[in-house]
Amino acid sequence: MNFINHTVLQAGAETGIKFGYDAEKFLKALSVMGMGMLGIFIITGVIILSVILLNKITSPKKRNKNTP
Amino acid sequence: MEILYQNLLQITWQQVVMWVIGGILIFLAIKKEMEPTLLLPMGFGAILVNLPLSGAKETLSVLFDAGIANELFPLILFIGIGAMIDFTPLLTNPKLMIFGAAAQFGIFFTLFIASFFFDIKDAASIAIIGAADGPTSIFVANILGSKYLGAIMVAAYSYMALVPIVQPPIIKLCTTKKERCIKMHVQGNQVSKLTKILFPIVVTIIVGLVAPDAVALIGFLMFGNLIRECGVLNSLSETAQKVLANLVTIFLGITISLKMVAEEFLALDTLLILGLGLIAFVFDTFGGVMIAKIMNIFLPEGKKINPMIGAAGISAFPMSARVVNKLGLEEDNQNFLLMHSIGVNVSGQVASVIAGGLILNFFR
Repeated sequence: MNFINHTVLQAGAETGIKFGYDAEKFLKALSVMGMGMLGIFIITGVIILSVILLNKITSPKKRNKNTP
Repeated sequence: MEILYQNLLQITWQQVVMWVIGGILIFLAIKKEMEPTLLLPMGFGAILVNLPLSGAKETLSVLFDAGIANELFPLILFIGIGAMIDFTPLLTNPKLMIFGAAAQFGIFFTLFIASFFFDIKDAASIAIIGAADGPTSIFVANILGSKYLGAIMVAAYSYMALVPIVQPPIIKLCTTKKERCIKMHVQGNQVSKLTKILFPIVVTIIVGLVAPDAVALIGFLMFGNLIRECGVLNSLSETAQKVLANLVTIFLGITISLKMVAEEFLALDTLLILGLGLIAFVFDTFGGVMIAKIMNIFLPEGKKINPMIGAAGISAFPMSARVVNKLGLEEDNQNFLLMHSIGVNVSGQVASVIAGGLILNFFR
């Protein structure tokens, strides 16, 4: 990385890349990935149920067969 | 005499590279018509800020502080976007929202990958490129204090414009011909006006309760939609869709270019961000398609879902929906998937905001 910094990267800012395995960061990122997807699905599920309920409540009532 | 050429002596090759990059963005905007509303101002702005001792930086800084540092421009733009969106295809078949949710997989997967290269907040800011939504990307990256705003914006808008090129190979790789030929019937359910009015309010409350940092994003989006659907504010709706959206877009595009100064932009980081942005879009597509394939395992014949519509859950509206429809017609010229893919596409807009809000929840 230092070689790249001093030769190829004379173009601009020093790189902010810090390549490496950091167990804490790895686990944090993995848990965010899992919780993030779970969170989206849960919220989406609630919205879907709400829309189904809204559609049921606001749809015009079906005519009774006996009603002229 | 010296005063005429002394500035020429200040030109650096890095600035010339940025002029070329600005030129490329302008070329893509005009000749290829790739997201011209943003790429053209960004391209021109890149040239403006990379002229030696450019006086434009001061003016753009004023605009930046006025509209981007405080997340104002993206939020106002969201009013316009909300006013443009018709959620009827989604309200007719709300289960399509599942694909919108699944198509945000690319964001979180990219966050995981990016965390190997950047600190976690920068990784999250880069991952939000996968939201395929400019205002959400700016909003989240700004709040997380990312210094890569310029690269993130260039990546986000470029890939949004490249959806017709990026998505089809991924879709074809993840599906079989038989799956691509699955026909889906259009549900003829009517959606009441009351549902269309209550939907933006209900969604804002649900999302806001779970992800309070997303209230501004979802709220402004749904406010725009409510103006559209209420039926009594047609002039405001039209203004939001056209004048307001265009006005903010002009300022947004050229102001973002302040972050395209050569010293900040020309770095290995930028290349890596562009690569990670592509990964985000690829895995968004993958996520949407795969959820449909998984659902098909449990669905009987005759009720199976064409997995291609999952790819439309990426928030690039309406391009992604059109790409899926086109692929469907290529396989079978009687297979019209547009109604379904549009429903999935608009759900992706909501899901991307939810994803942005959750990211802020985790890292703010």
